[in-house]
Amino acid sequence: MSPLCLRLLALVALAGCATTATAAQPTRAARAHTPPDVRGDALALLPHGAVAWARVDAAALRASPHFDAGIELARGLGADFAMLERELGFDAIRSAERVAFAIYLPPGESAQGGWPLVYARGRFDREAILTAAAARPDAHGQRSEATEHGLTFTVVGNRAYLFPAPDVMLVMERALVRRVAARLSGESSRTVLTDERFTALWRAAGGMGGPFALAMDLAAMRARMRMQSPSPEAEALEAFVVHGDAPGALTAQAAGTARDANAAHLIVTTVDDARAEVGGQLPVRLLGLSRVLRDGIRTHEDGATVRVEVDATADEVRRLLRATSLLRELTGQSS
Amino acid sequence: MRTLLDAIGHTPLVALSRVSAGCHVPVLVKCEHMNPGGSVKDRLALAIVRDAEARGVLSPGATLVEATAGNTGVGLALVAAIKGYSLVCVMPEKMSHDKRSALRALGAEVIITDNAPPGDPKNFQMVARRIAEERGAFLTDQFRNAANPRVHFESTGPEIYAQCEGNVGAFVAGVGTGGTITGVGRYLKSRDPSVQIILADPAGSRLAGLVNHGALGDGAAYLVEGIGSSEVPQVLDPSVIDRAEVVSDRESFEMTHRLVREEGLLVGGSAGTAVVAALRLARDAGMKGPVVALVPDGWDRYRSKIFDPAWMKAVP
Repeated sequence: MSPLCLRLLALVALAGCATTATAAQPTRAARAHTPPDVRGDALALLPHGAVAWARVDAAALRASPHFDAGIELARGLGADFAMLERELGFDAIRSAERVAFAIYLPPGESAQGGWPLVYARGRFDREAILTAAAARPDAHGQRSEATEHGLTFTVVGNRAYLFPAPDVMLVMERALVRRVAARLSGESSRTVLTDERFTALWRAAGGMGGPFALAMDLAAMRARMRMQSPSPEAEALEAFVVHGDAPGALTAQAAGTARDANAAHLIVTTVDDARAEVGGQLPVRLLGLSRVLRDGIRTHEDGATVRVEVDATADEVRRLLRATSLLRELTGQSS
Repeated sequence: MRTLLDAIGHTPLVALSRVSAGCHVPVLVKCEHMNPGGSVKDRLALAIVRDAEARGVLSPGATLVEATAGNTGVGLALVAAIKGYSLVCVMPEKMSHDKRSALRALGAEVIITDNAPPGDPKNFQMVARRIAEERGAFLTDQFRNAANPRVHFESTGPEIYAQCEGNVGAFVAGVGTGGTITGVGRYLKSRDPSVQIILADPAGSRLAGLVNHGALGDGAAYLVEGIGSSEVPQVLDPSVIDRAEVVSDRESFEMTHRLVREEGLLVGGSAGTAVVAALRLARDAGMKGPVVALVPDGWDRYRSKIFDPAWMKAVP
């Protein structure tokens, strides 16, 4: 898995603190040859076939009362935001309004890793981004231009950059240029929003509303990206989607497909056992987190499908972040 | 575009439609003949000059000396003209008069040597080295210059991979200096180790033996220009090549004619060699992805040979 992919996943993890309730709805696929609005729903720009994708309302993220604590916690858990800034060429955490990303698998049988595609809307210095890109070790210091479907991409090493509007940029693995150009020109109408793999899961999760949404085909990623699963229970999960909102209080809904009904039951049991065990501990009760663990996390299983709903008050979120931070300091854990 | 040098590279990758009948997978050709100087060597010429400039070994108005089969000379002449350098090209007698006149038209000084084997003082590479020493000029040395495979690793390989959207079954090219197949091969295998790198070698070249049997094969005269060798070029990394396909002169030239007439590809004889080899692979049911053949140069330097019916009659 490339460093950029890892950093993007870290960014998505942080996005659990997003705030405003801009209920985004799935965008209808554009008609063929109708170019999509590059300042509209970013997900409608990402070509079909991604194994993971996410949308983050970064402006909402910054407005969250939990933003600073969330950043600190993410840093403590190993998120390297300086690295993320070097990889992307700009400070997405501080500068972007909207961020979306997708990861695609290369077609070659023995090709490893994933191909990232990042969309960002906000305040950027185009030249600074390209200069930073040219300074990367794999860029060989050269940059050139390539035109596909009438769109001019700036190519630096294995990456391609496109600036379709003054405040919009897309950076991608170079091999994705044709696919992205086909989508942006309207020649292709298929996007991550029309990916049938996740349709039933989004339905189970109650849609994809909220400032944060993530979908991952874990089975496909494990097969090709040398991902290490944290546990056998995690291996049992094949795909999942999650979306959420946290304008102070936190609500999130997730749905996943397990390998089979037994695997789904194992996942639900594991989650329920863990929250029962942690919720019974004295420090957790003293911190006033018993309710969220007892009633704020609800699990459901239906055949091979697993659903998890989370709600926590603003105060519980604040205390949860603080407790996690304290626990990390006390135990000296960095991840 | 600031200068014509910015037009070097980013060549089209096109699918063959008529000559590829019966193939299991698409055959794509990387149209290097569409570089401004008419060949893949434009990339090399620009890379060598830029590398020398970056290392501070080229002063303004300096003289470049190159032992060339023709195309590198044209590429260097073009780069030299734009950047203000002088150029001396040393080439063997067997090279076409079209190439000589093109170089002279571009302002290069052309020195013709005997068709002497490597190591012979009259061999074109030995003569070039001696002239560079005598005149205090910069020997571009495409056969040994590390910038040669590097430019293909950094530009040609990534272009092919991106144009195929990562779906490459095999890459086919001849070996002149070995820079192209080494650089492109290394890049493609770094992205997908299952990509096959295939040498298209003229019958008579000794390199196919090295690749297929571990030792240089028997040498013989052949007519295809710019590819094949009786020794291993220094920049060639044979370990990157999976297999060699041997192609006769007649097969190469007949395919060149077909590429011109049936595909509209105005290419030279070594393009025929690469495409014949690529078609053999693409007709193999085991091939999993598109086969990419690199077309090194255009037809305009071979009109007095391949495209002259009288000359073609004499091809065995």
